[in-house]
Amino acid sequence: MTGGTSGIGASIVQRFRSDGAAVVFTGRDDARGAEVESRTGASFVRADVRAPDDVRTSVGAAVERLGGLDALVANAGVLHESPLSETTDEAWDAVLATNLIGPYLYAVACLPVLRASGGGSITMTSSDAGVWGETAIGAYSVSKRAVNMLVQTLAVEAGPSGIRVNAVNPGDTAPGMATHVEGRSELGDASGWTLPPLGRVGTGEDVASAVAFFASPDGAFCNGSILLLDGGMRASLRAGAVANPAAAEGA
Amino acid sequence: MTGRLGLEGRVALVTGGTSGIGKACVARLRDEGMTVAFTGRSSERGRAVADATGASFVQCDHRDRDASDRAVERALELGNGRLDVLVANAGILFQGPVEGTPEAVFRELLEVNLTALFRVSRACFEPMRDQGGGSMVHIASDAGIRAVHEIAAYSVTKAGVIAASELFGAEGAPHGIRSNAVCPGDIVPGVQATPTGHDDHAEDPAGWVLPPSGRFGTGEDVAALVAWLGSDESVHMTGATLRIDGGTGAAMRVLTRA
Repeated sequence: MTGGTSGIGASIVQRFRSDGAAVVFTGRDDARGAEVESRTGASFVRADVRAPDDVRTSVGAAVERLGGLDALVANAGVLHESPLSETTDEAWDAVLATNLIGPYLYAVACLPVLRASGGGSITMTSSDAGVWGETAIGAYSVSKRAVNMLVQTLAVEAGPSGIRVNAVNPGDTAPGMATHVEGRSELGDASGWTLPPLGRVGTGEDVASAVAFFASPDGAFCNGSILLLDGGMRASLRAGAVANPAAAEGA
Repeated sequence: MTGRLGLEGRVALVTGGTSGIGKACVARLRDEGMTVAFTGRSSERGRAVADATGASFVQCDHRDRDASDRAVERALELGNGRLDVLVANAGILFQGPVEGTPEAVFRELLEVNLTALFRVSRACFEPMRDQGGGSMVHIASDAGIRAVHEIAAYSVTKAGVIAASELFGAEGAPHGIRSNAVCPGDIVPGVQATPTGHDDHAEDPAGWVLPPSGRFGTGEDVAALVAWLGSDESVHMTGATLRIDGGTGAAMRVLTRA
């Protein structure tokens, strides 16, 4: 499980532990790692997904501590708020390195291990912006569209080995992503967000539930699924107006 | 056919114009009376296309970011500061599943197919905005809409191209900048550019299944769509993703009756 020290990732670690799984999770910050470790009983390995050596080392550490792997959750991601025309090379490279190359590296490193277990599950945390992009987060949207395609190519390639590969595509989730290209910035109050038809933003637990499903025997026939978890926001063109009558009137 | 689309005297940059679809685009846009600059890695192939079409060749390997920036500057010089149409076509192909794609190759496909396309589009954005508009045409692939797992890294990068094209379309629309993604299906000859260089048989049509239309596409088929997207005839088209594949992507299985 990559990127397990905050946000959705920490919820996924908690959920897998509650379901009785032994979990190794990665992150870049020892203090946050130790906190999640002590709260959940999962085991922390410090690793930066942008560093190929860290990827291989952390997979090796996970295999050693757990005795093998049944599931990989490639969750670590980074956000950058900028339209494409104003996105710098540095930000673009950082977003692609974390959100696309990282999951590719983790998948390649874990496939032989999963095969040795006789099969397993890979779930990647993508985004609703990968399904339908947002100009305010251009590079992020592009990276998530590409990672959805990575999931689908892997699903076909790994399926014959009994390895299922799926994506969860969360919409607005609170607490939101704190990991930005420029560093961490905790998101403030979600009360101003445009709500989806369900009338609330998502939670880390909502996403963790879907990831646990994909990894479990209940998800045994899911392969190559790109699952939207957005309360219905991308189900129609003007879904955002339904739970936000004031916004719909255009003020 | 010159003049139908009203492109005479306008300026275009085609990346990757020395073979395949790009080469057909250079020829077509020249036929439409445009001033055309095009890039490519090989000076020999570049000169041949320049001689045949009267377009201006700019030697450029889009893995080199500085060279890529200079190519856009060169096209702007050629147009005296104007650039009406960008055809972002340069791309390379690697045959292999995800696990069979070495890290260096994965990064290289990402750099050429997606990052260079983003960077060239970004470089054209401001000049196009300042001149009151322009048209970006991004050559993606049907493999960017629906995975082709045998060319996994290519599929992944082309999915990114479609997303980038849509977003440039949404972002550019208030400024008159249009951006559309063209997704060719099986085209003969196929992609000839690979990480290691030019290979006439990088994509081997031997195993391909004919589209429902009964023939594979040609570079000219794609160039016709590109020229139309570059012209004012398509003025209300932006952020669109267009398959051009003889119907391959229209249904998973096609009922055939003798």
